[in-house]
Amino acid sequence: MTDAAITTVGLTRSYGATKAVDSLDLQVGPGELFALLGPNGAGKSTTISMLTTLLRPDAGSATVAGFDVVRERRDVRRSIGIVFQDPTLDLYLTVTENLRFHATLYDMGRADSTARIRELLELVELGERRDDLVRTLSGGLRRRLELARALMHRPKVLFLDEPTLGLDPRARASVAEQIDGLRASQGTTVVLTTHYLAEAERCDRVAIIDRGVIVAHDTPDALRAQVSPTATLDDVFLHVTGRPIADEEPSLADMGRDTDRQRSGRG
Amino acid sequence: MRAELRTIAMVARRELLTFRRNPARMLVTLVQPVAFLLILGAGLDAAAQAVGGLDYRSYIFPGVVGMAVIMPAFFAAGSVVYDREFGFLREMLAAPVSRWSIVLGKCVGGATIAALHGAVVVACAGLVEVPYTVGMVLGLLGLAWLLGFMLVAFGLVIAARARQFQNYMSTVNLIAMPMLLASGALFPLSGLPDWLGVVTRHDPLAYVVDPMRRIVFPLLDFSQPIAQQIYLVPSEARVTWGDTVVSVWLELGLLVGITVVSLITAVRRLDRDD
Repeated sequence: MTDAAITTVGLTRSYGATKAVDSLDLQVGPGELFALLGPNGAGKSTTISMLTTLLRPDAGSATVAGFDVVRERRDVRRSIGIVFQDPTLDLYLTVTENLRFHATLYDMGRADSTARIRELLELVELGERRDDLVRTLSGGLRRRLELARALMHRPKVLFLDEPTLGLDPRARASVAEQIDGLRASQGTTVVLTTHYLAEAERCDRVAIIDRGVIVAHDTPDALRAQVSPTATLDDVFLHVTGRPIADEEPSLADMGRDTDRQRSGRG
Repeated sequence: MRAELRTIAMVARRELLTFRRNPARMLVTLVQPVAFLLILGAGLDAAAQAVGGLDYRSYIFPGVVGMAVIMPAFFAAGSVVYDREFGFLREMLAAPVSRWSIVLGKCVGGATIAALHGAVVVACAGLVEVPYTVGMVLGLLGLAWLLGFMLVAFGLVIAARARQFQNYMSTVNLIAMPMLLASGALFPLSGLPDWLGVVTRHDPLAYVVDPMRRIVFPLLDFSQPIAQQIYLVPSEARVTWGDTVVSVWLELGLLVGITVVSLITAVRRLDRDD
């Protein structure tokens, strides 16, 4: 219990009359790769916002890396890295400057951050672009830079909110590869949200969330075994919610929505 | 504490870096004040000569220094709206630092950029017959910086709630021009119609332009009796409350007071869930 990376008890948040997240009970072990799987609007981002202290829960409680998300916000923030669903880079600063800014926000020493920047840029293969303005980077490269930035201060828990949303299949595969690489080298607990089944498939454990409620919570293998020997996660989702999840490939409407959101700032 | 100070410096440095990479912006925001000083000044000076041989351009010089600070300061505050639109604000809000450091960093960076604009006008002093002295240059730059700081803080109160940069800028434009005109930066405060006198006393800019004038006017030659009558009498054209002349210290106190209230409001607004 105490060494769990994340524990939530009855975590709840409403917007007006709708309960975006309803009495969520979750446990994520240290070093786990954990997926919150669900369609758009299921409550994934709201959950992440509460766990990252950006949104106060209406009821229930949660600890992240041993700290309470309401009473020990500062400690939680120091212990986590976040890659938001929408880009949060400064396009008019260079790659290095973005990382340097982050290092200052997280109170890292000059020498330490210099070494860390070199190390991480190598890891995400952005070393040659270190002095380029971020606006000259492609979407896939920007996402990789956000990954590197989230890891700068050596977080115990890394949150990735739809890390591959809006990327083309090749860039998506590359980001997935980067996440695996980072986990192997840094040993960080990773919580990601996704509505791509293939992404959830690679995780240690999956929680399926629908309309703010966890409807299934286990390893991908165990989840499939509950339905039938040949079941896919798709079948599992259909089985527990009674409806199919959104297409694995983002639909045209989906992508239009994403670009709209990027243009207008936030979702 | 040290971490917060480093954050303030970093946020300020980011403003300056972005500013340095876009020098054309400075040119654009300086066109208006310099045009006021040289063109409007020269035009009205011709009219004023007919009345009694006084240099209207030197007269408005301190006011135009204040004017030059307004738009760059509001612009700097608007960067928060940009940061929100393009996501970078979340990177800052999710970090283990106080909102105060973010807000103060914006103010320090913005005030510095604004004072640089003021410095360009100060450099023009010779063109409008204002003699250069160390006290004049440092005094005006210091006041320009403080004014810039206050305006960035005030702008942040609006920017913290604005969702689009265009909306923010139109709100700010709505405020900037009346604020400039009502401050008396461009005309003497003596002999105003009663209603305008009341408006002027409620314009924060008036309390910055006044100390700027106190620095510049002793350097000017107001020997012509008509000039004294129009520009310096009564009470040497100071801001007055009733019969009391407002002292420089009270003016600076007001400036600090407005700044502090704006800062607190801006931090509160940024802190709200959204």
